[in-house]
This record gives sequence, C-alpha cells and structure tokens, in this order.
Amino acid sequence: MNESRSVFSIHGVTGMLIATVLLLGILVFLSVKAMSVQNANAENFYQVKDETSIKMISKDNFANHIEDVK
Amino acid sequence: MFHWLEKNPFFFAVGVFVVIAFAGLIEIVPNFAQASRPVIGTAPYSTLELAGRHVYIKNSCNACHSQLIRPFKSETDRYGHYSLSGEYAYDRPFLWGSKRTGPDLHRVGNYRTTDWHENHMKDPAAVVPGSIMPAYKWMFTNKADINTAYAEQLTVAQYFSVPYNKPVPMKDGSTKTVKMGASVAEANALALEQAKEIAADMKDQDVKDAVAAGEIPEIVALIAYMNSLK
Amino acid sequence: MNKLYLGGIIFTALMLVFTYISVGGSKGGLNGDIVNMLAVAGAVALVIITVFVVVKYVRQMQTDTAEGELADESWDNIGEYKNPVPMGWAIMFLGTMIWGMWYFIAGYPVNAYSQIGEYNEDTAAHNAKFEAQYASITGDKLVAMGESVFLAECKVCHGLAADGIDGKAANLNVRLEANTVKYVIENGSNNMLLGTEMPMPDRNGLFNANTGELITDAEIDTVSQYVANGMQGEGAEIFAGVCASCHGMDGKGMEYVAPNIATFDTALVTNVLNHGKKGVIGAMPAFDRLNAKQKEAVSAYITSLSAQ
Repeated sequence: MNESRSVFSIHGVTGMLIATVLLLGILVFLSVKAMSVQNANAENFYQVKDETSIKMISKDNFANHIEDVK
Repeated sequence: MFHWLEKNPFFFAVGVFVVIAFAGLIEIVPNFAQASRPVIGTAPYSTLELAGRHVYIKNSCNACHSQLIRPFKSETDRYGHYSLSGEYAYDRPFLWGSKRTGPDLHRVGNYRTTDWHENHMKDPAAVVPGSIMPAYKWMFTNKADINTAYAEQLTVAQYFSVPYNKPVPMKDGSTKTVKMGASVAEANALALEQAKEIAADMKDQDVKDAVAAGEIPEIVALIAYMNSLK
Repeated sequence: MNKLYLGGIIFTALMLVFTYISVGGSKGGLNGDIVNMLAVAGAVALVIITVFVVVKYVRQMQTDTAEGELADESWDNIGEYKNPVPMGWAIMFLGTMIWGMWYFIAGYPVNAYSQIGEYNEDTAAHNAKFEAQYASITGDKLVAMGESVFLAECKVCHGLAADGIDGKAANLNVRLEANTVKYVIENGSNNMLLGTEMPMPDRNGLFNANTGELITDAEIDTVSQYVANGMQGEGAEIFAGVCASCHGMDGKGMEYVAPNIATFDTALVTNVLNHGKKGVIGAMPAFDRLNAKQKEAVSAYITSLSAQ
C-alpha cells in the first residue's frame, strides 16, 4: 500500500491545476492563431474551376480545380 | 512505461492531452487556412440581412432547417448546387443545422420570393398543404434590432477583416460592394433603404406603413436574409 | 432445468408473441415489403441475442470462480489477472487496421479523393439512367411526369390544384386572367418569355390601328376580358387593331416577336422556368435546375390543365 500520498502533490490538486492551465494555454494559443489565419484569408477568394470534370480519385484535383481569384 | 504512467497520474494526464491534441492537430490544422477562405461570389451580410439572421437564430429556425446541401444528386435536384466551404466564410456562427424537420434553406433565395415568404410566415399550411411549421405572426409586429446587427458588423470587420465597403469578386466577373454605415444613424438609414425595397414587394399594409414610417418589422429583416441565401 | 433458463425462454416467447401481435395487428401486416420483413427479422434476432447474452453472463456471475495468474501490481489490494486477448476481439482489431490502411491508401486516398468527383460520377450515372428511361416518353406519360415535378416544385406557390391559392400565384388552369392582361397592357412587360430580351411597350406605346389613337381605358378593359376569355366574346376588333400585329390574329404569338397568349406551349413554359417572371401578382423565381425533359414535362402538364 502506498502511504506517501498528499492531496497537494504534483499528482494531486497542484498537478490538476497545472494540467488545466496547460489546456487553457493551448486553447488560447490556437484561438489566437485561428483568428489570425481567418484575418489573413478574409479576402483571399478562391474558385472551383471546371467542377464537372473533377475526378473521384485523382492527384491533380486540387492543383487543377482550386484557383485563386485575383 | 505504462506502469510508470499508471503510478504518476499527472504525467499520464499530460500524455493523454498530447495524444489527443496531436490527433486534433493533424486533422484540423493542415486544412484550416483553405477552409477559412471565401469562395468567389460570397459577399458579407448587409446590416438588414444580419438583423434577419439574428431573427432566424432567435426563433431557432436552425433547429428544423439545415443550411448545408450535401453533394448527392437527390439533394442537388431538390435544393440546388451543393454547398462549398467558402460560402460560409462570413457566417459567424455557422447555421448548418443538424436535422431537417423542414427543408434545407441554403439556397432558398434562388427559388422563393419575398411575397411567398410573407404568405408562408403568416400561415405556412395555407401555402404548403400539410405543413407542420408553426405560424410566426409576431414577426409582423416585432421590430428588428438594427443596432445589434450593426454592432456585429463593426466587430467582424475589425476582428476578422470581413470586407465591408470593399469590392468582392462575383462569379460573373463583376464586383459587389456591401456598405456598412460609419455611424449608428447611417447604418439604420442603410437598413431602412433595403427594407423599403423588400416592403415594396410585400402585401401586408401594416408592414408597409411601418417601413414608410421608418420602422423595420422583423419579417422584413428575415426576408432580406432569406433572399440573400443563394 | 435452471430457473434462469426458464425465465429466458418465457421472456423470449413473450416478446415473440408480442412482435407477432403488433405486426399482425398493424395495417397490412408485413405487406410483402422487404423493409418490413427486415425490420421484423431484426426485432426477432434482437430479442433472441439479447436474452442469450444476458442469460450467459448472469449464469457466469452465479457460477464462475476467480482463477488464473495474477499480475504483479496490487492497487490498494485490487489485483488483475493476466488474461490473454480474446481471439474474436483480436481478429476484429486486426481487420479494422487492415481496412483502415485500404481506406487511406486505395479506397478514399488522402490528397486524391474528391467528394465533388464522386458526386460527378453519381450524377453522370443517374443522368444516363434517366436518359435511357425517359428521353423518349410522350403523351400521357410526359404529363404524368410533369404532374410529379409540379407537385414537388411548383405546388408550394401555385397550389395542389394549380389555381394559384387565391391569387398568391398565377392560376395555371387558364392561360391568362383579366387583371394580368390589364396590368401588362398598362405597364408593359419584359419577362424573357421568348428566351431573349423582347420588351413589350406600356400603354403609351400601344396604338389601335383601327382608330389611329393610343389604346384607351375602355378598350383595355374590353380586350383584357377578351384575352382572359380564351380569345372569345367582345373585343376581337380591338385585339386585331392593337395586339395582333405582334401576338398574331389567333393570339398564338410569333417566333422572335411575341409569346403565345392564347394557350400554354412548351417554349413559353420552358422560358418562364429558365428566366422566372415578374408581374402583377409578384415575382416567380427561375427553376433552371430542372433538366430539359422535366421542363418539357411541366409544360405538357400545364398545357393539359387548360386544354379541356
């Protein structure tokens, strides 16, 4: 039986707090990053060119049919 | 190693986060930039349309109506061209919905008109035999909240660079500029201008009178939003 | 016999009887329908499998004793047996992994699969089937197809009886109503009814060749009634003087000049479906997502409504 346990150890409340802060940190980082990506792309229009000739399986689909709009 | 993790719950927890985050990262990140691009022909919502969108959300229209046409022949026959990710670039939040108690509305602007919506919102069963949709009579008297819609426009223009007052490219090669007022008064004036165009196609005299008097009933805003879904 | 087994058998029998009664008691019963049969087969299988599994594990709980080799750890005196992986589970696990590899490499390969492409294939196959089955239908079959398209797409405005639901849309049981004719004469029209821009002038551009004057209010009323009546009654001479130069003496229109206002025809209905229309009642949106045959069928159906 393990008797050397403490509620406030790294495997107790302290650890859970650190883990929570870590998770929230990741969340904030990704949110800020997501906003900046959306900002950068807000006017970055694309168009699907010649969509009826897109194949079900073809390596060229993306390169040939998704085009930037200037 | 598993024994060690089982004996050290903190590091076990961190390990779990890392594994789950990794799965999320390789699934979401590579396509995120592409998925946040607008497709050609997608314009931001005008003040009145955005107010209509708020009415749509407030009445939980999205609980029964989806706004996402899947690429299946049976869907495109019924609702029109399948939806593309870029068409939702300015939708915050998305109103994809999850259940079709009623039909999809993503392109309803293509095949329904102002006067039809007016008849339908007053008494759905009168135009669609057997319809279980309830009537939304209060929309004809409640006033649309233009100020909140304008506040949302300001927010998305500032924090998400949504292109108001700038030309956006259309499919036919032309451009379209969606105006956003520089002040609350100007935004209200712009919304009223668009509301007058809608009201001109409507039959309800009370709504016409309200718009002529400078007020915008919710139904006018909602129809503006419906007509913008193309 | 054990009480548990007996209970299981009685419960199974009860559920099967209940299923039998509820299917037999419902309208039509199985009705020879494959979906109904599958549903009943599923219900029966579900009952039997559930009872079997429950009985097996309850029995195991009653009789099983713990034995086998214990793992080294003791978690606050809770131990763990070193059981091998069950064979069935292991086979499923391996099978899933193999399927996963097939999925990512051959079935729906990353970076090469396109949902739009799959849609294109489906649509091409569907269109070919439609073409083979319906391309050459005519007569009653065409009208029946038109009716089904009408009931799917048009009835929400024009109504089940195509009567326009009390003026909410055009009444398609007649070619034109008097108020529509009157509105068009007074305001002109530009509805692409010929498939091209061919505007009709408003009343300030409509001369009566008989009198040499602009059309008058009284003449508008009379000729509107005349057209709405199916080119019958009073007003024939006004029609001849004002309208016939474009719409023809019989009102059936002229190619590239004016549409048919005496009867519906395929060209007219197809053009309305392609371009939509705006008039005294309101706006009709375009329904250009229908294919050519469907448009022809709708035309045939609408023509048949006013042909009797």
